[in-house]
Amino acid sequence: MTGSRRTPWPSAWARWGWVWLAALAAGAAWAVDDRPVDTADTPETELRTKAAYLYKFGAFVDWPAKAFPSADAPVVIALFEADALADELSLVVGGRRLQGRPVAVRKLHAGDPMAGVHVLFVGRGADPQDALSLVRGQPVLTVADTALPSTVRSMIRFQMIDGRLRFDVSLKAAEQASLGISARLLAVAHHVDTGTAP
Amino acid sequence: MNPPVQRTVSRKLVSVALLTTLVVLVLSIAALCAHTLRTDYRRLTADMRVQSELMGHMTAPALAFHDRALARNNLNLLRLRPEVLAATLYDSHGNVFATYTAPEQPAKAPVEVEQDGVHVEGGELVVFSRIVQDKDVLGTLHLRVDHGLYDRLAGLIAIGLLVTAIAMVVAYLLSTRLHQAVTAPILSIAEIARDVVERRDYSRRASKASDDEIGLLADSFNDMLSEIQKRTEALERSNQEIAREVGERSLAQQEVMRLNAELEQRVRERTLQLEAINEQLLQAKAVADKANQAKSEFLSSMSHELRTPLNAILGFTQLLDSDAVPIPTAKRHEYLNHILKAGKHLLVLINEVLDLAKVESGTLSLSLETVSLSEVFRECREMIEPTTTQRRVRMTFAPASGLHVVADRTRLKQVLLNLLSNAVKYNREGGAVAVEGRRSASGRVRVTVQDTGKGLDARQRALLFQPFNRLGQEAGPEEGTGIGLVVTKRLVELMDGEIGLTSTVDVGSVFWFELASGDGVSPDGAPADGDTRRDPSPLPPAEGRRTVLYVEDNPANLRLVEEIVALRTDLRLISAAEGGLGVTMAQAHRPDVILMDLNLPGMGGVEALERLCDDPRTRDIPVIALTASAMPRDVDAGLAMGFFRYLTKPLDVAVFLAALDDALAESVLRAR
Repeated sequence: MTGSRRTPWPSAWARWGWVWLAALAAGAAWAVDDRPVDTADTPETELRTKAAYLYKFGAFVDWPAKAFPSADAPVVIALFEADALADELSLVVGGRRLQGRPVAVRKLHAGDPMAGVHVLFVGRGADPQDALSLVRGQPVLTVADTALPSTVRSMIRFQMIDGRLRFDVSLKAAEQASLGISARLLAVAHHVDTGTAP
Repeated sequence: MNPPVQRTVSRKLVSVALLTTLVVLVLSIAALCAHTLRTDYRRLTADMRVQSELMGHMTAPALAFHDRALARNNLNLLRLRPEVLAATLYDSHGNVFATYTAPEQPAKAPVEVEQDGVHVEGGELVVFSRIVQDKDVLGTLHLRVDHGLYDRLAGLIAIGLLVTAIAMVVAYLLSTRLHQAVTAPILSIAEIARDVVERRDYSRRASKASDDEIGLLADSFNDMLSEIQKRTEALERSNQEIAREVGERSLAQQEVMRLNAELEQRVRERTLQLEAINEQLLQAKAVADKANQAKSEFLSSMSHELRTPLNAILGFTQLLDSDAVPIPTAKRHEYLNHILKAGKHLLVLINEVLDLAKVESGTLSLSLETVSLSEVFRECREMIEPTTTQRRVRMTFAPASGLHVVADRTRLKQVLLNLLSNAVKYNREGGAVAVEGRRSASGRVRVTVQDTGKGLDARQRALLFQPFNRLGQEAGPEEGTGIGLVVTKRLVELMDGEIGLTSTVDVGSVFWFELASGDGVSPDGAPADGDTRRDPSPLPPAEGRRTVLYVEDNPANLRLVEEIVALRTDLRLISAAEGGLGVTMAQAHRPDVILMDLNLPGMGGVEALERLCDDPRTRDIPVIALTASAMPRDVDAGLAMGFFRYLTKPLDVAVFLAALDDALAESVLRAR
């Protein structure tokens, strides 16, 4: 009678039912108002947001088929020198899937092999060039943390804009890595580098 | 009565047409509205689903990366869809992430996030669409869309009303025009039906204008009219038949009544006739009774009349026969005269009675011939004259030369003599009798006998011609039988004549009778012969004595004939007392004439005659019958048997002698 009703002329009884439901919802919203305000991110919030973004990037990226050893191979998100974020990410991806595949989080440190990585996050404390150079030419979405020098040529780079976490996208880098980045992601990006790759 | 029906029918037809049109239109418009609204709703729903899906897809990154400005920009794209009143984007926690409100639309409070779906709330279409990416619910898009269905519906209804109004007007105009096509034939049929009822003209027919139900109605109506016409005609025929039968029956009834009337009339007439006949019978019976009484009186009178002369005869005879007293010759002659007179009276009496008997029994035979009246007058005058002289009555006979009547001569004389004797007998002393014959006006011959007697009154005249009445003369001095006039009347009637009288008391009576005239019938010849024959014939010359045989058993009769024959010197009489002896004597003596009594002991006279005729010796002898059988039948029979003469007793001497002379002459002729 409520959601599935398709009659063009609902009866007065149904309208009154909707009024009743609307009143109920308004009351509930008032009781548990935990809506996040659009305020500047705190460090914990920033960490959590980064983890969420890292996970969500995967939804807008097309990996070539050869990037996965099998059809149900997990999407491996590797975090280089960012264990705290890795832990956070592990919480985020728990039970979730990307493009039909399970998500795996891998902590990386200097000297660790980069094979089998689909998303590589380079934290602040590491030498980004090493890590990036390792995956150059491979279909790996590289994400650079904020505060990294712009010389670190990653495909996506977090930026703190007005206290909020944003990111830039370098299409040229993605093309070089044979990765397709969805235009919808580009619409969200703070800045898109379309060709002038360094 | 019909205009309201017409109006009603027309109104009904128009109403039906309009109602039908209205129903069709309403149903059609309702169906159209429903279909249109449903289609619009589906299309709008599908459109909104796609819209929300697209919008959700578009805003998914904004949600994913928490970009409110982007989400707001995305939602602002909905301004291109003016029907979208408001859009609200909720994040995965159900918090409002971004909102959009169409221009000039009041902002509304956010609502609780619901399941995916589309439904209608009032004039708005409410769409909830979750934004899902990799099975993660990123958020929910809530759209409020002005579905416009009510406006649409109002528009449709307005169009429907307009169309309905136009259609109704058109339908009304059309049906008012077209109903005449339906009602006109019906009205025509109704008109014809009313005509048929009013004028009783069953020959009218409704015209069949079409092949539809009206045409069928017209056909059925015409069939019904034909049937009614047939039945009406049959009924009228039957009525006429019945009327005709009624007429015939009434005619027959009138006929029956007429016949009844005739029958009643006939019965009445017959009853009257019967009454008349009864009356006549009563009269006849009275007459018969009177006649019977008269006859009884007559018989006693007759007895008296017969005894009177017999008394004289017997008395004087006894006196003559008495030897005790000598009777002088004069006295003897006087006695004999009395005896003769009495005997003659007896003879007259008996003859008259015989005549009456013959007349009454109808056996009197008449030989009608033309008779000369003058001769009859002369003969009667000769016969009656002695009496008139005796009575000193003067008698005059008017000349009747040239008059002839058709009559029996003897009976005519008897009639005239009777009338004359009456006229003389009942006349007064020194009276007169006048006899006259003349032609009557009717061409017949009337003979009148007028006397100068006492005359007869009416009562006597009425009784005059009835038998056995002597009209008061019973005790009179004149002898009479009371039969003479009766016989006379009958004789005249037998000769086709009439008889009657006129009488005046103390003056006299006139008796008359009429007979058919004999003039021109035949010349008067026969009477002359009769006269000649009745003249006394001279005696034939005697050649010795002739023999006469008399066969008779009665001695007195034999004695009488002996005395008569003794008067004739030329005759000799022989006798036989019995038939057989008579025949024998005839054969022996061969007499010249035989006198034969018929009633004989032994052989009768007739048988004896046959014997005589069979014998050649006696065959030519004339035989004269002498008998007391005086009936005319006996006379004819006797003559037919061969008797020469038939004489009846008592004998008239003159007649007897004449017959005897004739027989003698005949005997001479036969002998030759």
